[in-house]
Amino acid sequence: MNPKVSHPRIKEFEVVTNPKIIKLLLDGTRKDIVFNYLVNEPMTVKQLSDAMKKKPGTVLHHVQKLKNAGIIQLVETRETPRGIVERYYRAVAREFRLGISERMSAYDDDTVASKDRVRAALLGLSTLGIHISESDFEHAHDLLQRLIDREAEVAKVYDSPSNHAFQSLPPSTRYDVSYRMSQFLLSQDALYRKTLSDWHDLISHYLRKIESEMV
Amino acid sequence: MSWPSNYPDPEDNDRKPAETSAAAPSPSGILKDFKVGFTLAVKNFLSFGLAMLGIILITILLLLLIVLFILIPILFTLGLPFLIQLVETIATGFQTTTGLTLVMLIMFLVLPILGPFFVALGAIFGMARELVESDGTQAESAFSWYGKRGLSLLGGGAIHFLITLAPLVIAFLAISYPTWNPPSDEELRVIIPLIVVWIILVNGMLSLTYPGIIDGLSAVKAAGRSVRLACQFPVRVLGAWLIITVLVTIPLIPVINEVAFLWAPIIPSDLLEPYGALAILTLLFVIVPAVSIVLTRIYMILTAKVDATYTQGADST
Repeated sequence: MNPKVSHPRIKEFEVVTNPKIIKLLLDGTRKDIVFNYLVNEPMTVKQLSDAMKKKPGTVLHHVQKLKNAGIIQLVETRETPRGIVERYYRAVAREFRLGISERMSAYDDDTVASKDRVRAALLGLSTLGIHISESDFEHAHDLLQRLIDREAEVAKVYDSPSNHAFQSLPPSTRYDVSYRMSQFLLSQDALYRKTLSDWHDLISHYLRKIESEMV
Repeated sequence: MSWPSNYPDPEDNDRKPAETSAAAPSPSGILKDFKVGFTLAVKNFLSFGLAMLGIILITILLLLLIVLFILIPILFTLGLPFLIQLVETIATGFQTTTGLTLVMLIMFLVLPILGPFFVALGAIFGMARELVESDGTQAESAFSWYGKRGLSLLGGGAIHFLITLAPLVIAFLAISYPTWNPPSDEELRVIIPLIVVWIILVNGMLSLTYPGIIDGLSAVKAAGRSVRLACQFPVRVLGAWLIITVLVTIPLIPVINEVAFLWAPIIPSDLLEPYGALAILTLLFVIVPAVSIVLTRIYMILTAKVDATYTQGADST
């Protein structure tokens, strides 16, 4: 896109450990700016706003936040013949890896429960050595979200607050009954089985990667 | 420690060495700043005009809010008679108070009133930044800067105000304490030009504060950076500021000359009223946006030179 702009060397990866910066990167627009565009090449606010179909003012605001956080840097300033002063920004690394403990502490428990349980679960997989890459993250998020949504719908079938007999069971018994019943109901759901299969494929891919790295 | 290399890295011909000093400042850079500033201001007249109207409305509303914020609690808790008594006390206070107390009283009353104007001016600089960096802005984006940088813009305005007035306060104290000892006419002939020079110089040094705040700096850091840039590139910054001072002052001279300089009227008195309106409208809708674009452009170019990211020689400074 910008053949004339020199491409300064950037780091292969950057480990982000500051929870505030992690939260900053979880915003949709900022995530797009960094991972869809600025990891690939230097771009101006105008180019970003054209590519993302967003107002320049909005993009400028996000770019400034990312620059202040040290995720992106100003690499070049050029003046057009019309006098516009173009600033080219670029991500400081090609890939960003998040420190595990910091990733999890970016969420407090309430936030995880109410806001983004799926994202927290995906990040939590890092503790098992499964680092979902940025390119797979949205796909993984979508799969897991669909699984969780369907499981929640199925649970409503038997876990009704009006079923006093079920609710009065001891918690461990109630959990066992729920687990068996949900397993049965979900096994009957073709769409759920397909989503689960895709999810297993994704996890298997990462597990194979771990095995090959160990060899 | 390493040995000096006999084979230095080949010169990168694509990259012009970044200029980090004011070694070769030339007026053509300033002229281009103003040419670009006025061209963009006129091209985006509608956006700036609508934004300015909205900003004026918001400023009036904010002023009303500030007044209500003070008056309503007093009215509800202490009642109307107390309020009347308070106004009378303040009025009496102005007549009887001298020295530091009076100055403090005036500044205490004036600063909150000026606050909305500081933020309003900052919002125009926000639009200018969008325009200079991305060649496009919209009227509504002015209001987004209220939320994004409102407090810092308020702080930037307060820094301008307080630093500009600081020597005047000291001078006022010097002549009023221990006894009132006003300067003679001869002394005033020296003092007044010095005050004018101080106001122009200080505001010139601080002229890049607002662009710095819009760039994400705090008010104090932006003011510091503005002073550093003015010291590194005095011709570009202070030269531009002198032109801005002339541009702002000249349209107003026919309106204020009789009061301020005791000159003879420049234009006939029956034309003074329409001229005054026209001058103020031009100032608000053309000159202020153009000046904000000029200063933003200068800030962006000079910071790029300092940060060694400026690579194109189109600009001659």
